[in-house]
Amino acid sequence: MFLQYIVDVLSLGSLYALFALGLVLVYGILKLVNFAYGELVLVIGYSIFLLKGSPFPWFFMAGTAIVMSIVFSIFTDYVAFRPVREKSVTAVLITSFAFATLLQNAALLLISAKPKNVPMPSFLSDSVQFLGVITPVRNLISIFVTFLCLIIFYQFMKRSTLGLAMRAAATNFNMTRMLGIPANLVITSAFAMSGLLAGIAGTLWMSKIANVFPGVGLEPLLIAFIATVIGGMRSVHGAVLGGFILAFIDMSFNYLLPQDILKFRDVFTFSIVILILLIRPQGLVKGPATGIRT
Amino acid sequence: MLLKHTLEKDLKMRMLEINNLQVNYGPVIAVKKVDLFVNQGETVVLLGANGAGKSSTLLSIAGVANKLLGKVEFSGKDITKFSPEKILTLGIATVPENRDIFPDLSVKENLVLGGYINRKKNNILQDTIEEVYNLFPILSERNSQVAGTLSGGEQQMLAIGRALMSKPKILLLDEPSLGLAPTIVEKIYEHIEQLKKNTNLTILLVEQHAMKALSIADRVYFLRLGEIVSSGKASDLKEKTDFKKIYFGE
Repeated sequence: MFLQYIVDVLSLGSLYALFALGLVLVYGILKLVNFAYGELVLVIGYSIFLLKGSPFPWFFMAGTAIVMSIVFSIFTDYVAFRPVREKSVTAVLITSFAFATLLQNAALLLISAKPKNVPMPSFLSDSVQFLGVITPVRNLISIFVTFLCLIIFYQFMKRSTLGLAMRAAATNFNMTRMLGIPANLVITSAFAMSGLLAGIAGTLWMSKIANVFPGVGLEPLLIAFIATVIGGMRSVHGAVLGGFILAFIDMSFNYLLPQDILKFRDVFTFSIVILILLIRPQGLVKGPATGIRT
Repeated sequence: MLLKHTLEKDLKMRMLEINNLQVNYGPVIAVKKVDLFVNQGETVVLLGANGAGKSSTLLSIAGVANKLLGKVEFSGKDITKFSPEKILTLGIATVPENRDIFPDLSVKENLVLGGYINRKKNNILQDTIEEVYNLFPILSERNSQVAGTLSGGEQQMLAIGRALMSKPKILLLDEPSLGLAPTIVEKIYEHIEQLKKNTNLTILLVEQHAMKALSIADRVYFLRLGEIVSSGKASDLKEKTDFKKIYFGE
């Protein structure tokens, strides 16, 4: 029972952590929240949906969807951020929401308001049993893929010059530019990596919910946002930690709450989140010594 | 004829020239009118009290402060509208006030980023790191230490070392004495002098610490309330100048 609980928390938490990491990457550098971030899951879902019936194998469809997610993430920068980046935080808030709304309405208009089935290979839903734990294969894959992504991500940020430049830019963007590191390279890389992480997390998310609808991006955005707020908006470690903590809270209520109260689970989850923020408004993990954008 | 000849020679040596510079931060005008030039191999000091516009002048050369008016030329090229990254590539490196090292990265990583424009040329990068370590041996000892844990003086050395990593033609150095104990300031200036001797680097130095700066400078500009109020050779000014007037007004 305990092991089952651990596996459940880890599999949910790994998804949350990936989502949060993708969001905090862009925030760290621009000090701006990308509210169109959830729409990358929409892009993932509809990409796979539209490729349904094509002769390609599923993994090719998923790969294409992830590439689309990266493309749309970079596109978000060009459409919603770059033109107004220097103006004000409010301007970007509005443009990123506008871009999100645009994508949702495009899906509504061009495809359908109804949820569409997203094909997933059947083996993902097969159950496996070990040490008394029963869990679908996709949960184990989520955990494995996430930890793999995190290892690659951390190594990249530590060893590559671009990774170092991105970390430096997150602390002091102007200083980074004064060292000859192109601002646009750093920003585009951040959006691309954000799109990649959201793409991977989004594909795993789709394997869970198996359908896509115009409002599908809201929940992942909310998850990513809350996880980063809990963990500390300025730290990638914080985002990952926040993701796992949020999953831990969610899953604990799943186990503890009686069936008829379970549908109000979010009320309980958010109460805990508010409590955490009352005690530590800056989030659990302190980020690099950096100013907040004004 | 002779005059024309010397004029041409002067122009050839001229590295940096600023004309009629005006800098603002929103509605606040930080620099009203600054004209100055720096010749190749010179050390020029910009002196003035807090808020005189020294740092703003430097940052506008580096391309990060908003230039309202004026022109910045480097080796005869108009760089007024250039981005900070482009300006560095031309050979202008900045050590900003407060040093702005990256506190979460190691000493080595800070230096590697300083050499970003040479990132593809591994041997140049390694050699330059060696040169910086020779100039500041303490940094070599602190190689893998996180930069935020260095002392103030060491952070200043790292900031200078990081700027040198791009192999600049001119170094913009903003208040290297800021917040440091007198003995440490002494040491930093020794290092700067050694650097000048070794490399014949051109330096534009901003300071509040007038005597210290004058000791290594060739020429001086005095800045007051955003305007150049006087200028001259450092050796002449050292004795004659009424510093009280410059810092506190009439």
